[in-house]
Amino acid sequence: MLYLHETLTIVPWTEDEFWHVMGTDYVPQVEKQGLRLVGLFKVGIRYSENIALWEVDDWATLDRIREFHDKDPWMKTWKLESIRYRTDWVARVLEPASYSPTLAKINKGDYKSTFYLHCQARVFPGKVSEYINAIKKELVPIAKSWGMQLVGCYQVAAGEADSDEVFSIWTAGDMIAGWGAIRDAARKDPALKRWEAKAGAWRNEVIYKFLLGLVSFSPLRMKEEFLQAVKLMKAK
Amino acid sequence: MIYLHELLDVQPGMIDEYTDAAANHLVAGWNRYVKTVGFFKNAFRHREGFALWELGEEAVSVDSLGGFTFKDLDGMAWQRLALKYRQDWYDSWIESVPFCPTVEMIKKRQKKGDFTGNALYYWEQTKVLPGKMDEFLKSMQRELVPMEEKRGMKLAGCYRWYGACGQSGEITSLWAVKDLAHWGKMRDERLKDPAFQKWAEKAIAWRRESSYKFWIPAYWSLLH
Repeated sequence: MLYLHETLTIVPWTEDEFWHVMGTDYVPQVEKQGLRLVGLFKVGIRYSENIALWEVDDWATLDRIREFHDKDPWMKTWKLESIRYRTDWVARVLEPASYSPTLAKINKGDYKSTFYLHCQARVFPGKVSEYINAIKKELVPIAKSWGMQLVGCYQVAAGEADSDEVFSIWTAGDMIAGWGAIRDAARKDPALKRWEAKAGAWRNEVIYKFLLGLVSFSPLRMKEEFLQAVKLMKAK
Repeated sequence: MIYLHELLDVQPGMIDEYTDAAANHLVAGWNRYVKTVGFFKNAFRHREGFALWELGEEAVSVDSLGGFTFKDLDGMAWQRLALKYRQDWYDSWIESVPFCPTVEMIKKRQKKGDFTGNALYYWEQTKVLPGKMDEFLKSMQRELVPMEEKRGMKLAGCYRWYGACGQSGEITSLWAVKDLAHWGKMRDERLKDPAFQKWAEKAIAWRRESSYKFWIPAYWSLLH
C-alpha cells in the first residue's frame, strides 16, 4: 500500500466550492483509477492551504494515475477548470509503517475528529526505521493515554520532498478544549519528557500543522453533529 | 563542461502550452547558442518546469548567452512570448563532474537504449559538508553510480555550482527512471542491499541532506 500526500494552494474564498466539485467530480473519477481519498483537510490556521491524503495499492497504480492525469481528456479539462480554485499543488508518495492503519481500518474504526495533528519530522540520515519503530513502541501508547489516536505514520518514498522525512497524523480533539486537555495530560506526563529526550537522537525538528476535518465526504472528518453545526453556522 | 540549469515557475495550468511554445518558438534560435539536454515538467507539482542546456567548456560560452537575450531577434521575441507562460525562474550555471555524460555521450548511449523511453527523471540535490566534496564525488563515481546503474537507474548528469543562484556544497544529479513501478522496485532493492546500506552509512560523514524531484520529459527533450 502507498499514500499520496498533496499540499494544495487554494484561491481565497473558493474553498467551499472547491470541496463541492472535488466531491461531485474529481473524487469519483480518480477512484475509478484506484486513488482512494483518506482525508481532505483545511490547514488550521492557514487561509489558503489544504492537504489531501489518498491511498493507492502500489507503484503501478501510481503510473496509471500519472498517465490519466497527463493524457485523459476529462482530466485535462478538470486541470484547467480547477485553476479557479487552486493555484498550486505539490505531492509526495508516502510508504506506510507496518502498523499504520489502512483506509479500510479507518472506515471501520473510530477516527472521527475535528482536529488532527499533522507532524512532519526531518529525521537524521539512516535513522528513519529506528524512529518509525520507536513511534510504534513508545509514542503510540503514551499518546493514547492522553487521548490521541494514530491515524497514519509514513516515510517519504518519492515526489517533491526532502530526504528522510517521516509524517505522522493523530486525532487531536473534537473541540479546542479537547486539544487543551490532551496538551495538559501530555505536559504532566513524565513519559513525554523521556520521549522528547530519546527522539532527539533520531530527528532534530518536527513541523506541526492542525488539519481541520470539515469536508463531509472525507473519510477522516469531524463527527456528524459537529459537521451539522458548521453547516448551520455557514447557512446563517 | 558548463550547463544552464533552470527551474521555471509556470502560470497555473499552462505547463503543457509552455512546453509547446518552447518547442515552436525557443529551441531553434536558442540552439544556435546552447545544446538541449532536457526539458521537463514536474511529475508531482503542476506548475513547475525544468530546463537543462549544455553551454560549452569555457566561461565565454556563458557570456555568449547575452547575445540571445539582448541582440538576437528570436531571443527577444521569445522573452516577450514567454511572459504569458512563466511567472519566475531560478537559474544556475553548473559544471559537470568528471563522470557526467555530455550531450554527445548521451546521443551515443541513446543508440544503445539508454536515456530513451523513460517516463521519469529523478533529480536529487545533495548538500555536501564543507571539505568533503572530493571524497563524496570519488565515492559516488566508484560506488554509488555502479550500484544504481546495476539496479537500472542511469546517471544522466551530475553537476556542481559554477555561478548565479546556488548554495555551497550543492551537487545536482539526474537519473533516468523507466516509470514509478521501476522506481518502487529499485527502492525496495536498495533498502535490502547491504552494500547500499554500508555506502549510505559512510555517506553520513560527507553529506548533510538532500531534496528530490521527479520530472516528466517533454516530447522534444534530448533526455526522454
